[in-house]
Amino acid sequence: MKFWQKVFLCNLFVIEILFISASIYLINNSFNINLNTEINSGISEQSRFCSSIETNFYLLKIQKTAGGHNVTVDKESIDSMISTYLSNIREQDIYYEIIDQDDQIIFSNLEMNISAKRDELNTISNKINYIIREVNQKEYLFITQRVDLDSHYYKVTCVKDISKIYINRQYLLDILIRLNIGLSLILIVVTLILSKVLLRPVNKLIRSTQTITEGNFSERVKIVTDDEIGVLSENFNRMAAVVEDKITQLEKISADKQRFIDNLAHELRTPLTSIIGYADFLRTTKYDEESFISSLTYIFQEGKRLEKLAFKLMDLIVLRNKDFKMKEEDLRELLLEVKDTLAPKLAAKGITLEIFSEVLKMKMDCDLIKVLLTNLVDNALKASKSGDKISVKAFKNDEAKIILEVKDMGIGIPKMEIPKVFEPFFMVDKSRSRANNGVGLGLSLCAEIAEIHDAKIEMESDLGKGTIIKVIFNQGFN
Amino acid sequence: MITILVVEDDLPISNLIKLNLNVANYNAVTVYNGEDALKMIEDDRFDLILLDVMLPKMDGYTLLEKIKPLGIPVIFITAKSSVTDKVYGLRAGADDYISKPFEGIELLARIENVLRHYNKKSNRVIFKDLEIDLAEMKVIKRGEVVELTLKEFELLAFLVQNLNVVLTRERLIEKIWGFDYFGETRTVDNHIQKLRRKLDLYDNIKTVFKLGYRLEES
Ligand SMILES: Nc1ncnc2c1ncn2[C@@H]1O[C@H](COP(=O)(O)OP(=O)(O)OP(=O)(O)O)[C@@H](O)[C@H]1O
Ligand SMILES: [Mg+2]
Repeated sequence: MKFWQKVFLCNLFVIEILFISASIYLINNSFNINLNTEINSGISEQSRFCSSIETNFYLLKIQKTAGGHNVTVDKESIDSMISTYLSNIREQDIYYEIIDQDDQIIFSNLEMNISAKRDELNTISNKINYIIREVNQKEYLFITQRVDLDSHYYKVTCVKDISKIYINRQYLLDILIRLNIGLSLILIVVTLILSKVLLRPVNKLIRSTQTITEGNFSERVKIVTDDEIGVLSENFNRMAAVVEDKITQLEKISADKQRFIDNLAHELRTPLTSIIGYADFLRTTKYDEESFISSLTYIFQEGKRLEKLAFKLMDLIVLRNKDFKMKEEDLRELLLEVKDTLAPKLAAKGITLEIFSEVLKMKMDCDLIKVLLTNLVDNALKASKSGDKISVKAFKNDEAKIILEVKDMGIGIPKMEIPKVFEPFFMVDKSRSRANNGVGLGLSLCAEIAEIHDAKIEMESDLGKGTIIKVIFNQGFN
Repeated sequence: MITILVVEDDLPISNLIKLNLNVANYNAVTVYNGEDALKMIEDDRFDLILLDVMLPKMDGYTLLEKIKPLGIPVIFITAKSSVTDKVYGLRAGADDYISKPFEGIELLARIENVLRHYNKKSNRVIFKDLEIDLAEMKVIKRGEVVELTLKEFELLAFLVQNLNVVLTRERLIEKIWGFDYFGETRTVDNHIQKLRRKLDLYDNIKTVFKLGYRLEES
């Protein structure tokens, strides 16, 4: 059921109950008042009539007694007195009927046939009985009174046509019905218009949800009202924004994954091509000494590359799945340890590594930080030439955050490429990195490790002058 | 002599290609990035270009656009192998497409195909006293036509085209009988025997222990 139909039915229900019952109550009330007035006026008229009969009787009696004394008036003369008196009365809508004590009709100008039992006739002296009776689809008020005239008594019935009151009531009820129908029609129209107006923002919302369902997640509702619908659409927009964010995030993640896989495939195929190619060359052709040696060297080198790739990939996978044991450790000790392991490599290239650090305790996974530091120093090493210096510093900055800094005087990185170096497999100079045995996963690894330690990595670099990498550990971590 | 430009940034692969080309008697010139390749093309004439797609400085597709007006045939070499990439490469105007990792034989076969298509390689091959017409599938020995079955001829052509290179039995089956051939490797041996007998190539078709056969000019 549509909203406006519901509203209409509710309104109709309330209006019917209140309006109809109130109207019917009013109509009935006025009907009762009218009826009572009719009855009262009928009764007083009846009384008046009865007393005038009595007066006439006394006049007759006086006339009769004028000649002799104390004569009783006989019944015939009373009857004829009543008849003559009555036949002189002409009143509209009022009829009279006089019945004597033997139930003989003395006078009647009733034009109708009354089939029902005449209960009102069972009357005791001086009590007025009345009854409303429907005869020939008309309502009549029957008022009966007993009149005692000496030794005789008569039942005087006055009949009054009161159908007007009933017709009136029926008329009012008819009006009520017509009014009610008209009102309902108006109500339909008004509800329809009103709900159209009220529901316009809701319909807008509906359209927006449909647009969003179709995949257009940047859709927003433009509704500026300060009612509940305004609040709803505001919340709706907020929800849509969150959903859109989440979806772009997911899309980015999946695009990153796809790129990772593409790059990985490329990085796997390249050494494989060489290994397979040289091996095939050696087994199928007649080679000279020189190509023999160089082919084997390439096979060995590229095999090593694959090995390194496999190990780094494994590191990455472990990083993503492992539970890390964070323990309070001394950063300084760790730096010295890394220096020891790298010493042969440094010496071979003629590079000095300087370490500046106080005792700095922080919570960390020792193995991971070692991997991080080794990778950073390894990068610095590869960028440097013989005689250069690399310095590693660990200190607390003004905000009491622990900072690990690796600084070299090497070739540097072009400004444009700095954001890209953290992407898996990215190498600024592919052939150079490859000659250095790089696979381009070192900094990706570092970024993951930093994230696990709630740290961020900042990089500054001057082409040809050197590079500074800072790992800034967040305070909350200590 | 046919000169081929090899544009490939990975040094080991570039050298590998060069070695293979030299075995097949091609002259190979190597460059390692797009810009150098462009300079080379402007300065020298090449019969064919082997082009890596992912190149530093200028990628293969861009380079291809510049090569096209010169009418030099191009074979793409790439590590990407998805179908869309292939379609894109061919639509961009490459003559063929080979994906890493590839085998030397495969590369040489494609080069031959493309060169023949451009009429840079004649359909007549002379080997010792044999004249082999690849287009008409005819072998003439000292002025006389030698009757060979289709498979025998294909085998001979394949051997001649891969002079001094060992052709394994698997490779021969794959090339001449097709992937879906389920016969035994004995079939290959039988055909080789027939070739040796019909063309008197006992000294030239060498059996390489455990691998296959090699045609040599002894
Ligand atoms: N200190 C540095 N100086 C100059 N260039 C750098 C430095 N550190 C990183 N780079 C550049 O960033 C690229 C990515 O570094 P990353 O450590 O991820 O890979 P890689 O060192 O090439 O290989 P891997 O570390 O996996 O052996 C490097 O190839 C190099 O070009
Ligand atoms: Mg590195």
